[in-house]
Amino acid sequence: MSVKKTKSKSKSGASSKSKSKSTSKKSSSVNSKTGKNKRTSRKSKKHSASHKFFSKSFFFKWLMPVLLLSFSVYLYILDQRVTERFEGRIWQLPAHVYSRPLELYLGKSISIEQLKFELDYLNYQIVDELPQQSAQYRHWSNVFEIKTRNFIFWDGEEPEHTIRVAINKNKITQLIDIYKGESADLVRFDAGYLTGIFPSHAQDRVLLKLDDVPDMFVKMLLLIEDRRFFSHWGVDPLSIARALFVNIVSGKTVQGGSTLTQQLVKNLFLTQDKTLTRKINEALMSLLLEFHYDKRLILETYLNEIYLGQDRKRAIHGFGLASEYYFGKTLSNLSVDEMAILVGMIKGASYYNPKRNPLHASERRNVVLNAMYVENLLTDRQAKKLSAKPIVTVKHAKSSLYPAFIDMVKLQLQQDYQAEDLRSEGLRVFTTLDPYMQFSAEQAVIKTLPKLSKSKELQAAAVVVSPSNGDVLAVVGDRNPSYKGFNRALNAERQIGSLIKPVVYLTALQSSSDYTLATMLDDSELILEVPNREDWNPQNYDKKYHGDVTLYEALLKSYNVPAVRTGIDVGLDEVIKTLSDLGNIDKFNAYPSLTLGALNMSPVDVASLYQSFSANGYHSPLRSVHAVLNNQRQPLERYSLEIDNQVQPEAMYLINSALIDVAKFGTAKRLSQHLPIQVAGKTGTSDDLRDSWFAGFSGDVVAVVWTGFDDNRPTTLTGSSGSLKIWQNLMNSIAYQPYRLPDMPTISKIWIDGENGLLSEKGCKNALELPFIEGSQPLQHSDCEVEGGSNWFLNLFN
Amino acid sequence: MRHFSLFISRFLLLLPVLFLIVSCASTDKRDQDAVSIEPLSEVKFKAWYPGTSVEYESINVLLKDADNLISNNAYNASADKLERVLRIKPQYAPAWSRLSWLALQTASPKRAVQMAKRSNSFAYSDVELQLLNWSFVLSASEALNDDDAALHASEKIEALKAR
Repeated sequence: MSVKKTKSKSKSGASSKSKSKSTSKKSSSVNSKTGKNKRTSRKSKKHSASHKFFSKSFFFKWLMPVLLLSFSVYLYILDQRVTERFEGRIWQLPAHVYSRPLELYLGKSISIEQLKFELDYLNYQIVDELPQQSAQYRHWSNVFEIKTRNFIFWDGEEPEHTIRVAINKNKITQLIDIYKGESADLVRFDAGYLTGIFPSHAQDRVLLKLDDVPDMFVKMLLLIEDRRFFSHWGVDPLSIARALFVNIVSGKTVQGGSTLTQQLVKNLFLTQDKTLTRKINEALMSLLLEFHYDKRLILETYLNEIYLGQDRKRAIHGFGLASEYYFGKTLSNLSVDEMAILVGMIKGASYYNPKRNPLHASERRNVVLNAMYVENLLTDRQAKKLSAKPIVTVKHAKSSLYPAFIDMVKLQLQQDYQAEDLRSEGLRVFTTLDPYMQFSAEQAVIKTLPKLSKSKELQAAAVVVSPSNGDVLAVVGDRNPSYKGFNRALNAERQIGSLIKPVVYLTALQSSSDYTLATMLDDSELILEVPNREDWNPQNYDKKYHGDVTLYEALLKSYNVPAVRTGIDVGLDEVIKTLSDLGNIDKFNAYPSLTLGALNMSPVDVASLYQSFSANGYHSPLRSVHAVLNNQRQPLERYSLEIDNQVQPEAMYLINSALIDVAKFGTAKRLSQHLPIQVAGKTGTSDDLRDSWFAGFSGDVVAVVWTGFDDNRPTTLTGSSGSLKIWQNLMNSIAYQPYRLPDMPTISKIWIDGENGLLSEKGCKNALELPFIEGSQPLQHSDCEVEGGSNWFLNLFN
Repeated sequence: MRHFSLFISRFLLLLPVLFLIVSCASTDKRDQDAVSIEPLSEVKFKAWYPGTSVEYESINVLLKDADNLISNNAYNASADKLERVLRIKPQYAPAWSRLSWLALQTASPKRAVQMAKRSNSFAYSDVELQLLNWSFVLSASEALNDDDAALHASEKIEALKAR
C-alpha cells in the first residue's frame, strides 16, 4: 500500500519539476530588463530548487536512504562506544593501600596513648555510652570499650567485635567480649586506608554491588533523582515536560528532566557542554544503554560513577567511597540522615559538600528528608528528628601521607605488577606499615633534628623493621616526612662508617677458632701500601693508639685500627661474603677501607643488614606488602615470610652480646641511661663527620637512623651525638620488649682478664664475664689480684 | 512541508528496527574462565599447643585455625595464620615447625630447611620437636639431593633419640 502511494507521489513530483523549468525560462527573459525582475527571478530559482529538494522522488529515492544509512552508521558508532565501555572495564580503579591491622590479645604490649592514636587513625568516633555502632569507642582511665568494624582481609572476613580492653603498665591485662561476657582471644581491627595509587585522572571509587546497597538508600535516590526510573526507556518525556513547565514558569533553570540513565551517559561518555548535539547524543545513548542492559546494572553503575566531591587531587566518585570518605563507614552502615546528605550532594557536590559547607549540606539534607516524609518513607516525627541532627563527618587527611613508605610499597609491587595495573585494576594492597611507629618515627625526626643543628639543610632518614620477619614498619625519607621528593631512606647511599665493624668481627669469629671476644688485637700504628695510591694510615677517632686490646673492647669503643687489621687478617673477600650472607646482595670492592665502612648503603640496606643481627643471623628480606587482593576482594598475591641463615648463630650470639654492651658501656652508653629496656646497637660516623648513623634493636623492633647533608659536606655530628639521639627518642615511644640473647647450650659465660684476655675469676682485678663458644675459651689463667677488680671495668668505659 | 513530516514519521517508525539491527551487531565480549584446582592429598600433623595459660589463648586460636586449614589442604591460608602467630610470639618454635612442614608439602625444600632450623633455634629444651624438625631437614635435604646435609640430619636424629 505504501509503495503505491509513494509511486504516485513520485509522479506528481516529476510534473512539478517540469513546470518549474518552464517558469524559469520565462523569468530569465524578463530578468534582462529590470533589477526587480532579477530579484523575482532569483526567488523563483530558489523556489524551484527547494521544490526540487523536497520533491517526493528525491526524498524517497535518494535522501531518505542516505539519511537512514548515515544515521544507522552514526547509531552504530554510538552503540559501539556504549557497549565497549560497559562490557569491558568501565573504570580505571586505583589501587588502595592499607596499613597493617592492629591486633589485640592478652599480654600485648601497647600504651594507652598508642591505642587511642590507633582508634583516631581509623576514624573511630568517641562516644559517651557503650558503643552501639561500629567504629565507635568509649574511653575512661585505662579502659576502652570499642565496637570494631568488620573488614575483608586477604585471609577472610573479620567480623565486628564489641570489646572492653584494660591496659596496665603498657600491657593488655583484660580483653572481654562485652556481649558474650567472656574473654576475647584475639581481636583484629580493620586496616587503615593509607593512600591510593591513582590513574592520571585521579578518580577514586570503592565499587558497590547493588545487592549491598540498602533499600532505603535506593528508594531515597530514585525519589529525588528519577522517580520513574524503572518504567522509562532511558529518556522520560514526562520528566522533560515537567521540568520544561517548571523552568518556564520560574523564568530560569530550576529543574532538570534528565533520567539517571541520561546522567550516567553524560558522565561516562559525554562532556558537560550544554549543546543540542550533546543532548541528542545523550538521549540516543541512553536509549541504547537501556536497550542493552538491565535496569539494575545501570543503577549499580550510576551508584559507582556519580561524582561526589574532591579530596585535594583525588576525585571522589560513587557512593561507596563517598560514604567512607565523609562518614568513615560503609554505605550499609550509614544512618538515614547521612544517606540523605549523600543523595543531596548529587545536585552540587561542591556546594553541598558536608565537610566544606555543612550549612548548605544540612539544608539540602532536610529537603531530601522532607520529600521522604511526603512520600511516607518517614514519619513526621522521624523527619523532624533527623532534620535536627548536626552534620558530623570524619576528619580524613591521610591520602598524601607516608610518601617514603609508599615508595617502598611501589618498589615491591613493581616486581609483580605493571605500573598501569597498579593504577587501574582496583587492587587492594595490604602493607606492613604500623601507623603508630610511623607517627613516632616522624615525630622523633621532626623534634630532634632542630636540636642537633640550626641548619635547616641537615637531613635525616629513619627506617623501622620487625626483627622476626623483616616487615617494614615505618619509613621517614626527609626532615619533612610528608615531602614527596628525594627519599633518603631508600635512595641516599652513604658511607656507613663503623656500622660495618660488627660484620668484620663476625667474619673473624666464625672463620677461625683463633678469634673470640677475648682475642687480643693490635691497636698500634698501621701503614698500608695500596697499589697506585698513597699509603693508607688509618687512625682512631681519638687520634691515639691503645696497644693490645680485646676484640670486645675494640668493638665497644669502635677502635679503627684493630678493625682494619682483623679485616685484612680474615680476608676482605670473606668480609664481603659475610655481608652477602647477612642479606646484602650488593657487590663491594675489596679495599682495606671497607673495614671502616667506606662503602655506600642506604638506610633501608642498613636496616636489612641489622635485621639479621637482631634475629641472630636469620635474615628475612624486607617486605612492605603482605598481600594483594583484586577488586572483587579475592587474593591475588601473598608475600610469605622468608628466612635464610648463612652465618653461625653462635658467632652472632657473641657479636650481639658485645652490641648490648655498646649500648650499656660503649659508644652508645647514653641509651642505658635514657631507655628503660635493654637494647643492642652500633654507632657509625663517616670521614670528616659527613654521615652520622645509629643502627640497633630491641626485642620487638630494629631501627636505623641517618643524618647528614645532601651535598655530603661535613656535619658536626658523630653517630653518638647525632643519629643516636633521634634513635633514642624513637625507641622511647615504640620499643617495649628488651632485647634478650637466645638460649644457646653451646655458649658458656666465662670470666676473663680484660687486660690480657686470659682466664680470670669473678672479683679479680680487670675481671670481665664474656660468652664463649664451647671449646673456644682461653686455657691459660691470668694472675688474680682481688682489689679494685670491678673498678677497672667501669674505668675502662668512663 | 507535508513531505518532510511524512519523512520524519516514517523515519521514527524505522527507528526501533534500526536500534535492533545496530544493537544486535554488538557481540557480547564477556567470557568466563573456569579454574579447577586439583585437591591435595590428605594431611596429618601432630599439633603442639602452648598450654592453657590465658597468655597463649590468641596463639591457641590461631594454631587451631591453621591446623584446620591444613586438614582442608588450604596451605597458604594456614601459613597466614602461622605468620600471625609469629607476629604475636616470634620465638614460638612449633609455629616455625609447622611452616617447615607446610614448605615440604608445597615443594619448597630449601624453605623447609630454614624454617626447621629456626624452629630448633627456639626449641633447645624440646627434644621431641627437635626430632620432628630434623626429620623435616632430612626429607628436605633428600629432596635437594644434598647428601651431606641429609647425613648430618640423620646423625642429629640418632643423637636426639639416644638422649
